[in-house]
Amino acid sequence: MSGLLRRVGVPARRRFIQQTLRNISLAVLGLAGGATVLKRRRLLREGKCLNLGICRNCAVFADCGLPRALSTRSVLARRRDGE
Amino acid sequence: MTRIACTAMFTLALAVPCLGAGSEMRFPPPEFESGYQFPETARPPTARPVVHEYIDVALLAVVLLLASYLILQRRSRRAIFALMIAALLYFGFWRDGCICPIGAIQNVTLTAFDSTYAIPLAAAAFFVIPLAFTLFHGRIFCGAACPLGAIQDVVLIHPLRVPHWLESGLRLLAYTYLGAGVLFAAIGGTFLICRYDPFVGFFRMTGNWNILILGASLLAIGLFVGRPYCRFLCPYGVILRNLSRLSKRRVTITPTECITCRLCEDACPFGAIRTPTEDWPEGEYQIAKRRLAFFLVLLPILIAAGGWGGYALKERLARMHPRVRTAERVFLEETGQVTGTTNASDAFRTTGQASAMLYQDATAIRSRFALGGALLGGFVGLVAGGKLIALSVRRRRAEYEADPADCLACGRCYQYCPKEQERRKQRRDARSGRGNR
Repeated sequence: MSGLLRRVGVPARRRFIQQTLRNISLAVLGLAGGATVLKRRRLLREGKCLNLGICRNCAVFADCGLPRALSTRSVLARRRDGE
Repeated sequence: MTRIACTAMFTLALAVPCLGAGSEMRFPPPEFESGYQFPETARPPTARPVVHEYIDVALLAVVLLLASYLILQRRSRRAIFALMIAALLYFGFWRDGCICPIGAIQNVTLTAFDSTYAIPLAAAAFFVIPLAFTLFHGRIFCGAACPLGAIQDVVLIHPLRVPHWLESGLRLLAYTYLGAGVLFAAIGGTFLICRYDPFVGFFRMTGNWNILILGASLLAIGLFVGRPYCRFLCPYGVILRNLSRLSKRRVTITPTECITCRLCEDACPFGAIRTPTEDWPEGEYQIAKRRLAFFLVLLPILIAAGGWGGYALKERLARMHPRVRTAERVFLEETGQVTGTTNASDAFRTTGQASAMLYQDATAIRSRFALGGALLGGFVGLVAGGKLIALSVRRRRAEYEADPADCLACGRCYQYCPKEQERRKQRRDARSGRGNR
């Protein structure tokens, strides 16, 4: 009888652990998402260009003629001029 | 026969970008220092409107909702396939395969490690939404929404079975790739996962020859091995498969009780069907216990060995960073060890920065790679040890079931399950009965 009870208890315990971990994962996803949005807002308030992405450290960015760089520089210029 | 003809035509159509890339390579790419003057235009090209990105996010959510319904409720392979093709056409060919959750891993990593980087909201949403859906409904993103998965699914003609031990071993590649992608994004060298995306060249009908060949090779393997990139390389798949273990609802092969006909086992091209287990044979239980104890002892050794190996690779890893490569080149040029200059060294000199600053940056990046390499190696050791432990633990199963982690929710097993066929027939009869009345 006790063996049977133990066997029944295993899936229930597994389900409980899964449910707890699922809720923790959802909470982590929610918190991470919220933190990301807050950080983005803060950077926007500080006037950071969001268009720069991975190319912002590129050595040829200042003279680059690629469309993304042209667009980014025009955005930066507009921000600098206070438009 | 028709299916093979369709697959052959699709594969031939995918050869177009290879030809395009070949013709592009015949002409040299523009150089920044050739003195070429860009034509005056009334207005510089603008970035893609942000509203399109929000539309993409909304579409992804709709596709995932629809996929949840089709996979878990309607249980129709045909409908899942149709949705998968639609996702391939929109997120793949129409949107050029960008942005995708797989690449978004790097945006998320960079936003965590770089205080000045603001992640595009679409990238964050593309990363989070499929994960949230996975926690509720399993890997429905892989089954019906991922364009990379879809392009491989379409070419699958004759799936061969990959032994479980080999599949487990090959999956280590995906963990390593995820770790490397995160490492490089965190240190700011490059977006490795986007750079080596094997199918983006097909979506854009152009690209680097090497990557197109890699993609074509994966598709060629994919004719006989179901979705090789998804199973053995996809870094986002690693996260999804682990979250999928916690999912609230998941794919169930049979709608009612299993009659152990084994048809689903033959139908699954991804080896995701787990068979019922028998009790341990006499004496084997003790051997398994000893093996498990051995692997538990081995785990910290594997982590330490992996960490040491990763640390030893620090120089090679750091050399993949463009700043370090430029520093090395400039050093060689300044000390007269090489003659001539490169585009990178010329570009650096154009900025007017001091070489000492460049060397300082390179040293800092090297030390970051030393730590990062050790962590990456330790992570790979941990995963390898975990795999060995998982292989030596036996779960009790009374019937055939889809492995929550390995199942890509393609719905093929539904077609083969006699109980599912019975359910459909009953539903059809009920419908026709209602129609006659």
